[in-house]
Amino acid sequence: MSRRRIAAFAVFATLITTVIVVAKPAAVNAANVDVRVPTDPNEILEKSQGQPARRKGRAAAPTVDEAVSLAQAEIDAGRASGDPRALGRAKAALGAHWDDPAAPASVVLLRATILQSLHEFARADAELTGLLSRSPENDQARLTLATIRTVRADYKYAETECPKLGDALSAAVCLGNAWSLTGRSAAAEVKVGEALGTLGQGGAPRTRAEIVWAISSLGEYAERQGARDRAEAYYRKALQVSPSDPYVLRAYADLLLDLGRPAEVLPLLAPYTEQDALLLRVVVAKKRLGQTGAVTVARDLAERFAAVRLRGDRAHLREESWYEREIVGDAARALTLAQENWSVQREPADARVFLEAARAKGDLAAATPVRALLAETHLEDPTLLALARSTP
Amino acid sequence: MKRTLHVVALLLAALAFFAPRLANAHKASDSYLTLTPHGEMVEVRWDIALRDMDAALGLDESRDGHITWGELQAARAMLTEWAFAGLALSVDAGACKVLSGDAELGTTSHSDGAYATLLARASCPGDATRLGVKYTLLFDVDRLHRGVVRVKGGADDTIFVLQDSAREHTFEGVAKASPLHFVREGTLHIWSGIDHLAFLFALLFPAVFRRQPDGKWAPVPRLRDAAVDVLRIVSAFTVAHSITLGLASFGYVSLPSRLVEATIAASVVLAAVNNLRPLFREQRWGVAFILGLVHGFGFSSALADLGASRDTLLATLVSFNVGVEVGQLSLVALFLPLAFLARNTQAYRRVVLQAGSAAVALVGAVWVVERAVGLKFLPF
Repeated sequence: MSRRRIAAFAVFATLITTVIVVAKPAAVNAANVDVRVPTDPNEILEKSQGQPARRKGRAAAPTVDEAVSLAQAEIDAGRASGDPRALGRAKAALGAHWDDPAAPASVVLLRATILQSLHEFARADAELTGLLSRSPENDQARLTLATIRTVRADYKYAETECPKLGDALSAAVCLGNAWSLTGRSAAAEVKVGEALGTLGQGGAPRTRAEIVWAISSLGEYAERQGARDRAEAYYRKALQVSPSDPYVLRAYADLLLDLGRPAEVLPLLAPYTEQDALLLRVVVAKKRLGQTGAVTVARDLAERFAAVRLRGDRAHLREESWYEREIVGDAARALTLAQENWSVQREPADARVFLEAARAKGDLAAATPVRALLAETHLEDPTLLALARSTP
Repeated sequence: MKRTLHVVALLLAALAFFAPRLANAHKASDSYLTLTPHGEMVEVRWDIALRDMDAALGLDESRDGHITWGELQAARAMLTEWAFAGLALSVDAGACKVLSGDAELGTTSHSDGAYATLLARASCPGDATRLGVKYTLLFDVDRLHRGVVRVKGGADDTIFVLQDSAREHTFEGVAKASPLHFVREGTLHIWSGIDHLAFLFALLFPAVFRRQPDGKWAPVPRLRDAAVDVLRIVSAFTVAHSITLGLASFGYVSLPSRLVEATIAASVVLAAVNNLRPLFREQRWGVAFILGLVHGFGFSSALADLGASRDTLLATLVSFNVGVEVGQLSLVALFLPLAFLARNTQAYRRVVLQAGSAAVALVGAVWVVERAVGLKFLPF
C-alpha cells in the first residue's frame, strides 16, 4: 500500500470510530441519562441533618405533650429556615392527634398553625373558632385567629378581639396590623412603638421572634405612610435582632426594589437563595441591573416553580405571578395567577401583585375587586394607591 | 495574547453557563416514581431525596454531617427494602412482585438537592394494562410528602400525585402503544443499532461499482444501475429479516441471544471482507438474504424489550418492520447519490470502499469475540 493510502485509511477508520462512539450514547435509554453512579465512595452527595433518633428510636407512641413539643420544634425550625418540609414533619409528629376531634387545646393550636402555613385558612379558622367556643380565654387561639382573619381582609374580628389579649405587645401588634390595613398606620405605629418601648421595664420576657414581629410590623406601617426611610431603619433593626428572618428579608428586599436600589438586594439575599420567595427577589434585582446571570438564576427558579406545580401545590401564586409578569413577560398568565391568589389571600402584597398584573395586561376591569377593597378599607399605601389609579 | 484572553473569556462564560445551581431549593418533600409497563413486566425508576432518606433512616454513618456515595452504597440493601415496603403495584390478576434484590442504585439531582435513584423491575401475574399503585413511603415521617408518579406507555406519559390522604390510584389503560410508536421505534432501532448500520453500509459501499472478471471494481455508468443493485440487496434483507422476526416473535423459533448477537457480528465481518476480497461474487443480494435471516432474530429481541402485548403482536410486528424499512431507506437515500457522484474518485474507492470496509470488518471481528465470550472491549 502506498503511504497516501495508509494515511487515508487511518483518517477514515478514525472517522468511522468517532461516528460510532458519538452515535452510541444517543441511543442509550434517554429516560435515565441523568442518573449517575459515582466512582468515588468519598464523594459528598448531600448534607446530613444528623441521626433521626427521635424519629427512629420512638418505640412507644409519644404522649400528647411529647408530640406537641416535637411538632412545635419542627415548626420553629421551619420558620427560621423557611423550609416547608418542616410542616410535613410537624404534622407527622402529631401522629394520630392530627385527626382527633377531642384533642387538647395545644394540639388544636398546632393544627391551626400548620393549616395556616399551608394557606388552608378556612380549615384553620374552623379549628380556632371551635377551640375558642370551648375555651374563650385561650389567647394564643385568639391571636392566631385574628391574624388569619386579617390576612383574609376581615378586620372586624381583630378590632374587637385583639384588645382582649392579656399580653400588651401581642395586643398592640395584633390591633396595629388591622389599623394599618384600614387607613390608620400612624396610630398603629405609635401604639406598637409604645408597647415595644416598655420592653425590659418589668414586662414579660420576650422571644426574639416576638420582637422581630413587632419591629417589622412597624416597618410596614411606615411604608404605608410613605415614610420609606423610617421603614428601612425598622427593617434594618429587625435584621440586627434576627439576621436571617425570612419575613423581614423579604419585606426589606421589596423596599429596596421599590427604592430603585436592586444592587443592595443581591448581598442581602445571597445566603438565602434556597427559599423560592427570596430567590425571586434576586432574579428581579439581577434583571433590573441588567446582569447576564439573571437568565441562569431565572431558569433555576422556573424549575422550582415547576416542581411545586407538579406536586399540586398552589402556595406560590403570588411569587409566580410576579415572576411571569416581570421575568417571563407573560402578563395574561400573571393576571390569572394573581386572580387565583386573590381568592386565597388578600394582603397588600397580594393586591400589589394583582394591580401590577392587571396594568401589565392593560385590563382595567380585572382589578376591580382590589380597587373595591382599597376603597372599603381606606388602606393608605401610596404605592398601591398610585397603581390603583394608574391601572391600566 | 489577545486571542488567548479571548479564549479564556469564552471558557469562563461557558463555565458560568454550566455552573451548578446556586443553592438547593427549599421545597416540600416529593419522590419521583416512574413506571414503564412492558406486558407483564414493569420497569420502576424511583428518585427519593437523600434528605428524606436521611430523616427516615439516618444515612450519615460517619456522623460528619455529610452523606457520601460510600455511605449510600453501604445502606443499599436497607434502603431498598425500606423504599419498596412503601410501594405496592398490582394488575387485575393480582399483586406484582418488585425484584428489589436486583435493584440498581445511582444518584441524580432535582431542584431541592441530591436524590437516590433506584432502578428495579416488577414482575406481574398478567398484562399491566390496568396498573394499581399504592404508595405509603415516608408518610410516617412527613405527612405532606407526595409521590409524583409518572406512567410511561405509548406516546404520552401520565402523571398523578399520591399523598397521605389519597394513597392509591389505579391507572387505567396503559396505552396499547399506537402503531406509529412502533414505527418510530423500528426506525430508531436501525439508526442507533450500530451493528445493523455497519452491516448495511458494508453492503452499500460497493453498490456504485460492478465487480469485473478479474475481481477489480469498475464504476457503474448510470445511477439506475446502482439503485437497482441496492434495491435488490435491501429487499432481500427485508424479506429475510421479516421472516425470522415473525417466526421468533410468535414463538415458533427461539435462539439463544448470545448466538444471535455473535452471528450478527460475524455477518458484519463477512459483508465487509467481501468488499476487499471477493467471497460471493455477484450474489450480494443472496448474502443479504441469508444474513438478513440472522438479523431478524436480533430485531425480535429488540421488539420484545419494547413490551409488545400478545394480543396486538401482528400489528406491532408490521409497524416495527415498517419503521425498520424507513430507517434503512432513509440512509440509502442519503448515501447512494453521494456515493454515485464520488464513485470515480480515488478517494471513494480507496478510502471509503477499502479502508471503510476494513474498519467495519475490524470492529465486527471484535464484536464477534465480545459477544461470543460475553466480554466488553469496545465502548460501543
